[in-house]
Amino acid sequence: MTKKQYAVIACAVIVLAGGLYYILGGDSASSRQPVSEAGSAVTDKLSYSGSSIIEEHDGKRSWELSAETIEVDPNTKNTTLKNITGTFYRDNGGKIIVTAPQGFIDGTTRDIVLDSQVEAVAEDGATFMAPTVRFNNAEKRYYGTGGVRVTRDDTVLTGDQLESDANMEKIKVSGHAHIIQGGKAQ
Amino acid sequence: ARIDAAQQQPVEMDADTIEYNSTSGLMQADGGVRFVQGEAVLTGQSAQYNTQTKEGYVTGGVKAVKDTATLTAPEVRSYGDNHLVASGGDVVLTKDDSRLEGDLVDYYTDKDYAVVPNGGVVTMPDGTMKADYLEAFLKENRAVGKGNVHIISEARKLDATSDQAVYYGGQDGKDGKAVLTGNARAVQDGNVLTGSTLTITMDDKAMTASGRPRLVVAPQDTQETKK
Repeated sequence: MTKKQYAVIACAVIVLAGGLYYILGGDSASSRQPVSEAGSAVTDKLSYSGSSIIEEHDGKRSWELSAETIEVDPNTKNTTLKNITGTFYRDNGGKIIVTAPQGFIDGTTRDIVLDSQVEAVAEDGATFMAPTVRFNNAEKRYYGTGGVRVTRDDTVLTGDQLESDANMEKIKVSGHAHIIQGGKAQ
Repeated sequence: ARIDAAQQQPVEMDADTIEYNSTSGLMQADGGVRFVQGEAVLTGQSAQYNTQTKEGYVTGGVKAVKDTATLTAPEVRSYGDNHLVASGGDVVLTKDDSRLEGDLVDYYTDKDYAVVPNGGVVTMPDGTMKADYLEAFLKENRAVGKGNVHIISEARKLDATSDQAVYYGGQDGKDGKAVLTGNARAVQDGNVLTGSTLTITMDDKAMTASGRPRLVVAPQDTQETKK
């Protein structure tokens, strides 16, 4: 092969690498881990299966979502996930395991919307259920709607909608709010 | 107040919004609050409950109902299952035939015992007793007054004052009795009886006095005009 051919191949590799970095690379303060498995052929949508998306903040993991299928829109970087299992990390070192049939990550704000019956269980046994949950990534707050239910030890809190900190310790339920502490679990 | 855990029953709250801090154990409810602790149901505008101290605090036109007792006040604090302190002025506690009014009423729901430490009025079928300090033993239909006691019974045409008094409401408006001690003075149908101790039986309008008793009988015509 001549020198000229070597040069052409090198240029092609550089262009390909740059293109991949542009599609997956994050440009905001929080670094966003590259998807751990190479995509299939580059099409309108890049589909990933059995992969996870990880969010870190100041080098500390905030959350990670695994899903059966992940579809990333290369233009908006919006991500659609199916059959999700997520882990949200609490300040006290604990975790909240979240499952949901489907979800969506906003490519810009990295807010997460989980849908069609979301269930969350914390390592201390606290649970939280709602048809729809939005995790505001900037505020690090959950917003549950459609009829929510939170349990913690012998306390059960229910209502139309819920707002909670990332640790699920400070919870506000509004709309037909009801709380019972002690007595039989409802 | 010692809180007996075994006695502790579920606490429940309904409201427009409820905030719960599981770290501090504090609940805050706002808007159309219904707060149930033990068998007492309290309604108001806002409520706080501390799951660790078992203390509740309800404000905003509070009404607390337990069995046949009803307590209304601007604010009510609850301590465990059986102790309510209602304050803020215009506090009214009613139970069967008794009615207790004052600025503050300290009510033990399990014993049906209430204290009105800052002065108040107790009303029973026979009449009312006002005093600087009142205790009401609602189950026994009995009330104790201390300081500037003033008993008025329209039905018995009685007006009596003393330093202290025990008022027995009797049953179904019968057998009512009042024992007045310390500078006791009673006026009935114009007759005035004073002594250190007076015992007044409501039904038959009889009065007995001890400790330098003195009776001033009103002339007959004055009594007639009075009738």
